[in-house]
Formats: sequence, structure tokens, C-alpha cells
Amino acid sequence: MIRSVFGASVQGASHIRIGRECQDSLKKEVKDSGAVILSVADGHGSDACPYSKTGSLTAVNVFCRIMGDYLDTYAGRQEMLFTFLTREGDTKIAREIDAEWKRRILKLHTRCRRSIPVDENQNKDREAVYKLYGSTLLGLVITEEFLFAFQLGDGDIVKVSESGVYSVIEADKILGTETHSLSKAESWKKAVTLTRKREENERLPVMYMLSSDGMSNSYKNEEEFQKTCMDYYALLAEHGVKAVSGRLKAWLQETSEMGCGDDITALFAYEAEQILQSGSSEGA
Amino acid sequence: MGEMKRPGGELASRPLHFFWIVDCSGSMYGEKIGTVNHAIQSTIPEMVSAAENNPNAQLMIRTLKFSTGASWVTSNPVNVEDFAWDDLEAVGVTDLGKAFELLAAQLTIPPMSDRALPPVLVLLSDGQPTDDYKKALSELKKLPWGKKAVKIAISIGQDADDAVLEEFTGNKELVLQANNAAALTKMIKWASTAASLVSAPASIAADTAGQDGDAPVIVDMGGRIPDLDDIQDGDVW
Repeated sequence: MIRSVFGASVQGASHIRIGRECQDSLKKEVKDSGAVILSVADGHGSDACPYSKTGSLTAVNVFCRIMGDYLDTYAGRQEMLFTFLTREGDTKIAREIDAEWKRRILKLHTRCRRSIPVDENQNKDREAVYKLYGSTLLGLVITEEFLFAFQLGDGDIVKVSESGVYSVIEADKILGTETHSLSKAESWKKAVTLTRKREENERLPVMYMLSSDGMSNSYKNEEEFQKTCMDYYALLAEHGVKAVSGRLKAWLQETSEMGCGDDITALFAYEAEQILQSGSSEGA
Repeated sequence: MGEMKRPGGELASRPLHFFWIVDCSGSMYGEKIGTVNHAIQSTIPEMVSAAENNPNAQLMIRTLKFSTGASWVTSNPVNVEDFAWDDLEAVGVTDLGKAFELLAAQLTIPPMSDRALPPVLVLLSDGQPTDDYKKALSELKKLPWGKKAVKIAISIGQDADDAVLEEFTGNKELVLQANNAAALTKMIKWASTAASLVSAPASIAADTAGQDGDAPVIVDMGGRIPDLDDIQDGDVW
């Protein structure tokens, strides 16, 4: 089995119109063991969160760092790691991510010599600092043995195989433009995690996709979003990773322009018996 | 190997539903309803222009009137570009509860989409409800979109029941005072801009104190509300 990981972020059409940078971030890390860590974060991008690009970048870095450390610590003991993540995923791990994101944000804020708001008692208001960097976080760890998914806030983590499209993890969907955020006190309580053993002799190819909410919000409804996931899967099988990854940015840009106008990030892991590398990558 | 087109299903901008909810009871007769008719009519070009500047939100407008009973003036949501204002007449009592019932029926999912932007409800009233509005308002506010809607009220004249309007908005600041024609025109114009404020794709961190994001949407509009002192005096209603 060969696994290929690729993705792209694009500045949303609405953000282009007002000159606001893309607030999404993505990160992928491949470990020596073959395990991969994927992460996507969506900075809120509102006037109240002027540094949310830094917030999203910090979020993906924190996820990859913490999960990478666990993979290293439990190297060769996947069963133990699976048990640990199943038991502690939405408590210890989520708390650790929450605390580390906040620690790094405070450090960055101080290093950049940005002013620290004070509350009515003239104490430093850390919550107000975190708010300036508000971001969501999606994460997925794929090993030979299991999957570990993490979600805090909006966005989607889906798996596509020949049997169809399904959500790897079901998180709260809040109507409108609200989302759970790392910037909130005890944000870890809103995190959702899932640990699942991989099927033995799973039929390939399989595609995993992490995407910011700009992607699903750009489609008419859930069915159209799922159809899109299926189309990406089919294109990967037919044309190969190079052809799809080469065109991904342009496609996402078009999706934002004709859809909800938000920044869009899509990060893929594609597993197949053979990855088709040749084909129509020209013109990307 | 054929040409590779963008994968995917049908793309669509996010719908944004804007509701004018107008008191057409007898006490609105004359200058009040005339001002409402003229002011809302005059907001249309600006709303069209604002919508053109944000093609990623599809602004749909509807009008609901209430007096003795309540009814939709526009039976279906109308794209802002096609929206035309039909002058309303004032006669009858103030069945606000009936208006809330009709509104609630349209804020359920479906016909509302769960991928819509928060709807904007603008209620204009000069009097006290004559029916039992509380039950209907409670039902309205239990709906997911009833909770998440941006609710603005314009209190017309000194006889308006601000406590009722505040119950509707859930926020005293969003009960706008309009005691003369100039103020009413200005407040209607200001309320019409709420659509552009909620149509940006920026996210808002949900209040973690609320259960699963049940708390109402807080739109920071307070600082932009027109100052009544800046509005020229006219005959006070």
C-alpha cells in the first residue's frame, strides 16, 4: 500500500475583495514509521480576531507536535497508544492541545510586544488575548493500525472508499457563523475525538479529507458536498495524485468564488495499491 | 484521458433571509405608515448595491404585516434584486402573536436551510399587542434559527411597548427609538444594513457557557446605531 498526502489553502473570494489574508492553515507530517499526522485550522477572520492566521498556524503546529511526540513515545507499541488515545483522547489530549495552544499564543503575543488588555481589576486579561487569535482545529493521525481524529469547531473530516462517503467524526454543527474555538476558556471540553482500528484487508483505494468549513458551506447542501468528495476520490483513481494536487488550488479558488466566499483548505491522504503518478498533471 | 473539470456538486452562495415585520394596526395610520412605506422603499437600492458587493451571500427579502391577524405580503422569499415594496395600509388591532406564528413556520428547517447565514428579523411597531403574543414568541425563540436570528425592533412613537420589543430582540440596545418621521427613516435605513453585517464569512467563537451554541448571535452593532441627538426634530408621535 502506498499513501500520498497533499493539500492546499486558498484565500476566500470575500477576503480577496476586502484584502484580508487567508486565515486557514494546514500541516502534514510523515513519521519514519509511516504514520501521518494531518491538521487543518480555520482562523475566525473577524475584526475581533485580527491575528487569527497566527492562531490557526499555531493550532496545526501544536497538533502535529503533540501527536508526533506520542507516536515517538509509543513507537513499536501501537496497541498501547491505541488504548491510551481511546481512553484519554477527549480529555488528556484535548486538554494538552488547549493548554499548549494558549501557552504559545501568550508567548507569541508577548514576543511581538503587542499590548495585553486588562480587566476591570487591572489584571492581565489572558482570555482577551486568546480571542485575538481565535481558531478551530481539525486533526487526523493515520497509522497502519488505527485512526485518531480530533475536532474542535467547524470543518469536516471524511473518509471515502468504494462503498461511499462518511464522516470520520461527528462534531457539533452550530447554525450560522458560530463555531467552537480554541480561544475560549476550557475549549477542550468542546473537542470531539475518535479512535478506530483500521479494517484488516481494507479494500483500497481509500481517501481521507480534512477541510475547513468554507468547503462544505460552498455547496448547495450536504449531498452536493458528499458528491464532491466522491468526485475527488474518482479523479485520484483515474488521473493520479500529481494531476489532482496540481489543480487543487485552482479548483478550491473557483469553489470559493462560486460558493460561500470563505477561505478554503483541503488536505488529503490517499491510500492505494499503486499511486498513479503519470498522467495529466500539465496545465495545473 | 479527458479534460479534468473541477470535481463536485452544485455550488451555491449562502442564503441570507431578511424579514420586514410591520405593524399595520390603526394607530399606524397616516404619517407613520407613510414614512415606513417611503423609508423601506428607499432602502432597496442600497440593499441591492450591498448585495452586489458580496456575491457569496444570496440576500432574500420578505415582508410580513400584522394588524387584525397577520399575513405575508410576499408569499415566498424574493431575491433582493427582484424585491419591490408594496405600500401597506394601516387598519385594525395589533395581533403580534399571529405574526410570530407565521414567522416561526418559516424559520423551521426546512423551509430554511441549515447552511444559511443567520436570518435578520426587523420588527416595526407603535403599539401594544392585542393578542397573546408570549406563547408564539416563546415557540419562535425555541427554534434553532429563532435563537440564532439577528433580531432588531424599531419602536415607533411614545405609545410603543418597549418591554415587548425587548422580549423579542433579547437586547435593549437593539430596540431602536423612532419618535418622529426623521428618526424612523434613519432607523429603518440602519436596520437594513444589518444584512451586510451578518453576510461576511468570518466566524464567531461560540459562547461555551451555552449548551451546544444555543446562545443568541451577538452582532456588534451597538456602536453604529444612529444617535437620536443627531436626528433633526420633527413632530413627536
